[in-house]
Amino acid sequence: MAWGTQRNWRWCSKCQGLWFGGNPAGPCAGGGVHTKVGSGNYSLVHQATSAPGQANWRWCSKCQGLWFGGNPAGPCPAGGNHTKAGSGNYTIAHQSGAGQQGWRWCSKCQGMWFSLNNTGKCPAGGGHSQVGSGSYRQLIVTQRIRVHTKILTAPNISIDTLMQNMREVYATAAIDVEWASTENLNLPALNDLDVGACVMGSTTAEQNTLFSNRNNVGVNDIAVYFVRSTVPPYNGCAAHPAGKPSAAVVQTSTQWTYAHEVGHVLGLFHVNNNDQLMTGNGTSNITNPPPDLVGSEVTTMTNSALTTNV
Amino acid sequence: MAVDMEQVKAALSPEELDYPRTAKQLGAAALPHLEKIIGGSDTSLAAKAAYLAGLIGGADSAPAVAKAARSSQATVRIAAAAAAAHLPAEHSDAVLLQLVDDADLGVQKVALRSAPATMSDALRSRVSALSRELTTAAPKAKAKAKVKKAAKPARKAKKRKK
Repeated sequence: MAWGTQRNWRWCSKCQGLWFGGNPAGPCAGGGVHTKVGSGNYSLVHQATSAPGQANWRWCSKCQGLWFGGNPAGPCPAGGNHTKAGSGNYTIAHQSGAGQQGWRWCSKCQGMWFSLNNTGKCPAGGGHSQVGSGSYRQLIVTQRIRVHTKILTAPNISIDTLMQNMREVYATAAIDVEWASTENLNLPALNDLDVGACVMGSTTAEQNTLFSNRNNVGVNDIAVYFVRSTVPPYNGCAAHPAGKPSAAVVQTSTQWTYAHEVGHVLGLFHVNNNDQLMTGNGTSNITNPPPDLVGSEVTTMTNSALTTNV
Repeated sequence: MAVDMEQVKAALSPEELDYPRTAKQLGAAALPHLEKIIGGSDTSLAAKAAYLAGLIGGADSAPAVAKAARSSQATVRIAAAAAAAHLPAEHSDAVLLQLVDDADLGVQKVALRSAPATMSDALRSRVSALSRELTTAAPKAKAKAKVKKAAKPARKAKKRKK
C-alpha cells in the first residue's frame, strides 16, 4: 500500500512549534497566530500503517499544530486541549534517519518543537520541555518527484523501508518523494524480465511490454516494477523506453537499490565512491549510510523534467 | 591471473554488473569461487555467479552452470538457463534438456530461449514439443474462458427462475 506525504508544514519562530501552513495560521502560544517567516517547507509522511518511524502524530484543527496523539491531549493555545478531529495519522522519523535534527516532543503540551534555538513558548506555560523526548527528524523540501510501485513479486525488504530510505536520501537534495500509488500486476511471463545488456536508451520487448502498464502514472511520474529477477541477473535496471520513465527492481535487491535505480531515471550515472548512492561497486557496499548525493548530482536531479518545484 | 574469493564477490556486487568486462577481467581462475558461491545461501550472488560462469565460457564453465541448474532456487536456475546460451553446444545441451522441463515458468521461458541453433536431437524434440504445447495452450485457455463466461448468464438465469 502507498503512503502519502504532505508538505507545507512550517516552523513557527515565535513558539518553535511545527504547524500546518496550508490553512490560515492558528493561535500561537508566543502571542497572536503562528508565523512561517524563516521556515522551510517540511514534508510529513501520513496515513502510513507501516512506514518506519513513530506514528500517531496528529494535526490540531484548533491551533494547526502537530502533537502526539498516543497520549492524552495536552493544552492547546486556542484554548482547552488539542484535538485530533479531522486529522490524518502522521509518522515521524524517530531516533534515526535523515532530515533536520533537533526536533523534540514536549511532555507538557504534547507538541512537536524545534529545540536548537530556545525553548519557545509552551501553551502549558513557560518554555517547551524535552524531558523524556526522543530525537525526531523533519525533512525540508523544495522539489518533488512522484513514484508509483507496480508489484509482480514483492521484494524481500519491505517497500515501506525502500521508500523511506529513498525519501531520506533524496531529502538531502531537498527533493520530496511522493509514493503516488501501488498496484499488483499478475504478469508471470514478465516476472523474470529480459533486460538485455541494461543500457540506457535500449530496451527489450519485455521491458517495453511491462513498462506500458501505467495505470495512474502521469507523464512525468516514475513507475518502478518489482520483479522476481532480471535476465541476465542484476539488482535492478533503469533502462526504459522514451516517454515512460521506469525501472525494474528485483526481489533480492538491497535497501538502496530502489533509490539508486530512480537516481538513474533522473539522469544520474555511476560513481566510484561507496559513500554515494550511485556507487557502481554495489549498494550492498555502501559504507556510511545513508549514502550521499553530491552537488553535481543534485543539480542533475533538480534539472530533470521529472522533478517539479513545490 | 590468480583471483581470490573476496575479489570475486566484490566483482559480483554491482547493481548492474558489466558481465562481459568482468568475465574478461576475472577469467577462468574465478570459476572455482563462482562454483562455491552458486552453492551458497546468497541467492542474488549465486544467480550472478552462474551467469558470469557461462560468460567466462568454454568447457571449464560447464560444471558451475550445471550446478546452478540443480539449485533449489528458481532465480539461480534461470541464471543457469541464460548462462547456457554462452556454453559450447555439447555442454549447454544437458543443462537445457533439464531446464526446459522445469516446473517453474520463468526457468522454462529462459531455457527455451537459450536453446542453440546446433542443439542435439533430444533437445530439439523437447523444444519443439514445448513450443507446440505453449502455442496450443493459449487458444485452449482462451476457449475455456469463453465457455465459462458463456455459461455464467445461463446459471444466473436459472437461479432467477427459481
